[in-house]
Amino acid sequence: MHAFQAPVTVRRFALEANATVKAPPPSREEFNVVTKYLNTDGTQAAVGFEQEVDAVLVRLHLPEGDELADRAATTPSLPVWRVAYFRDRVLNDPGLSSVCNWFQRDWLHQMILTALIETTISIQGDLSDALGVLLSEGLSVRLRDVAARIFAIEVDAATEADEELPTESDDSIHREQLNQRWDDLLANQIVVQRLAMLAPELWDANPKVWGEWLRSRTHETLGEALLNVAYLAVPAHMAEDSLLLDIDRGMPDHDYDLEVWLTEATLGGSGAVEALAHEATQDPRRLIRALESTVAPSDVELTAAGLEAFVDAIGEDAVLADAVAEVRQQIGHNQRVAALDALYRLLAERGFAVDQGLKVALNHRILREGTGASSDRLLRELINQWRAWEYHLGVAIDLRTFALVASSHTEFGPHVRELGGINAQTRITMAEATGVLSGLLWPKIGEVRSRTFQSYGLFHTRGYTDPSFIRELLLIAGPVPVVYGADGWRNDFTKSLADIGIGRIQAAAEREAEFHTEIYRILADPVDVDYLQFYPVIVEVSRNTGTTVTFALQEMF
Amino acid sequence: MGLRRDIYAEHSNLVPTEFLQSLFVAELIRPSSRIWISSPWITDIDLIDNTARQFGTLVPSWSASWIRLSDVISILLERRSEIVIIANYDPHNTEFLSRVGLLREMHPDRLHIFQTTDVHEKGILTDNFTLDGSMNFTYRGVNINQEYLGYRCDPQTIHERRLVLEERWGKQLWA
Repeated sequence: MHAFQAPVTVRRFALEANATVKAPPPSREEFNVVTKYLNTDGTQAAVGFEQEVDAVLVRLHLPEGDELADRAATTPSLPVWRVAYFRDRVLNDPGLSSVCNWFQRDWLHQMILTALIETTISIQGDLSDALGVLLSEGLSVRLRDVAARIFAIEVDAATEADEELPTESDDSIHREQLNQRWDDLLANQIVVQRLAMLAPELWDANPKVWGEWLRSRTHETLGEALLNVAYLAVPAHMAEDSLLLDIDRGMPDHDYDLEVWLTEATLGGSGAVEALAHEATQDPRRLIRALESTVAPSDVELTAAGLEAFVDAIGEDAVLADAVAEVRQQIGHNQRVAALDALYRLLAERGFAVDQGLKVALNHRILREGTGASSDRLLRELINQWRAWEYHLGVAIDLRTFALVASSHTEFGPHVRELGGINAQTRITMAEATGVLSGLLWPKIGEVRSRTFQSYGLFHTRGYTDPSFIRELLLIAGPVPVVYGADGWRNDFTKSLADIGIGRIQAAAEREAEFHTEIYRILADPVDVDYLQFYPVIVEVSRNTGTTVTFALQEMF
Repeated sequence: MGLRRDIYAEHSNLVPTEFLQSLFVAELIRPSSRIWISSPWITDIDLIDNTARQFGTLVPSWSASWIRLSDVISILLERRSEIVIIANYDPHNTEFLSRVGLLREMHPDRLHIFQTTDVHEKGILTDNFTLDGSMNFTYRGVNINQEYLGYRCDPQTIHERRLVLEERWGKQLWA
């Protein structure tokens, strides 16, 4: 830090710039532009700057890739990570990079993933069988079909983004050009061969590459989490771009551990690093707790989980179902508010965290006008089918893919049209059916989690991050939660407090009421630590499928 | 098994702050049907340390900061608790009472504020515990003064305390 006469010198520079330029309508032709910087004598040059700033360096000692792969094998997030890994393999494939840009590779990944999932469901086999079918029928043809269905939705959105309102002929020209571009790309044998070779990575990943991917993603997720910790710890000193994240120092040698750098963006700085240093020395535990909280389930995740649990609950709990029916019957505002209050009370009694996010989501998605028992039943069927397909395939299915596959499914397609209130005799487009499903359902927790860390860095291209890398691969050490009600749970809990000053108790949802009463007794029960007695206090609560309460003996820290 | 605890506090930033935090966090997990807060002088004290979002899953809408008493009361009301606040008429109380007064507009049947010159007892009573003693719920009371708090969580003591308060305030409560 400058305060210690020891700032860090940061040098940032670019050797070249790559751009894909798109001509305005009606042409919309794309062409690549590469700008290289050269000295007057023709040797390589760079454009950049150098500045002295305050910085935070965090050195990480992560498990090796093979150990992370072993841990990942039993985690609940494995299906989500498999899909993310496959996407990165396609995006970073050198063969594909030589013939198409990043955006096109992203679409190609989407196409082949959808084709594999759809075919697997259709043949009721596995992903490997599905690839065999796709190759025998012509991968290019099948991808073309998927592209047509995906882009039937996307072309409208892209057209709306143009500054000038499209004419009808503009729109058809656009579609024609888009179709032609994809026809050309999918006719390219390099593209088809590379996709066919990469596809098995989805279910049978190269162990070395998979392990390295897990390690690099965990590393970057930790970097993003630490940046978030800075915002939490010293909000008064943090604007959006106060600190920049780098997950390495950009040097080619590998003589150092994995690093995370947080550097101030402006010359002279905003005092963010100084403030962070002050916080760290005052109470180091706060930064660790902040890190744990940053990777804890976010409010969006909790809302998504709450919605799914609610749909399950109203199918099994007659009292809840009646309360929902009561809400839907009300016409007047005051009556509806009273009925909603009663419903929220029932949900709170059943362990739901009924906050504003869940209330808005419930009212918008499940309790809105036109919904009823039949739509609840359809939702339950859709969600159960979604879960079943994911379980069978072993990979996560995102909302768009599920909507696309389910809307053309022989069983759900007609239900969706019925729900849309559209005359069964009238054909609706696949795009419309997919749109209805996408609006009816919501992204699952895995999909929502990937958007948790949205830091913007001028000099750092954000890769895939997921707080669960930290939760499920790293935070497995430390105080193991004692399961409330298990044999000897009280002794194990007390021992943990006495030994390390922290004890965690995890209670299943059905035992939460009982556990709750116990909490008040725990607060009155001192723990013997040598010749002293300390009282535990609650320092953290987390909720997932159950409730986990962390107690601490603060005097021990 | 602990059912009672006596707390003697003086110039501590841990006790009773973290104890109060624990009690109210526990209440948020499963809110009581009715919570009594009696404090002749009362301030909107910092009650729960959520600076690291330690309780983010309990109340996702809370920011990463200290959570005040009025914010906790707001959530308890949303989760269907009935809250009774008893204080005196001292101008010191105006800020806190006007802040929770706004909550009364949203929850008119479940937030009751009783002011009287005669109140002197300090304490909290919920379905799960009773906390009584010398401490006003103010900054001085929680952080500076020499105070005594008696904590009980046995059902008999809780019930007896409830009977006393209901007898004293029942008419206003059910008017």
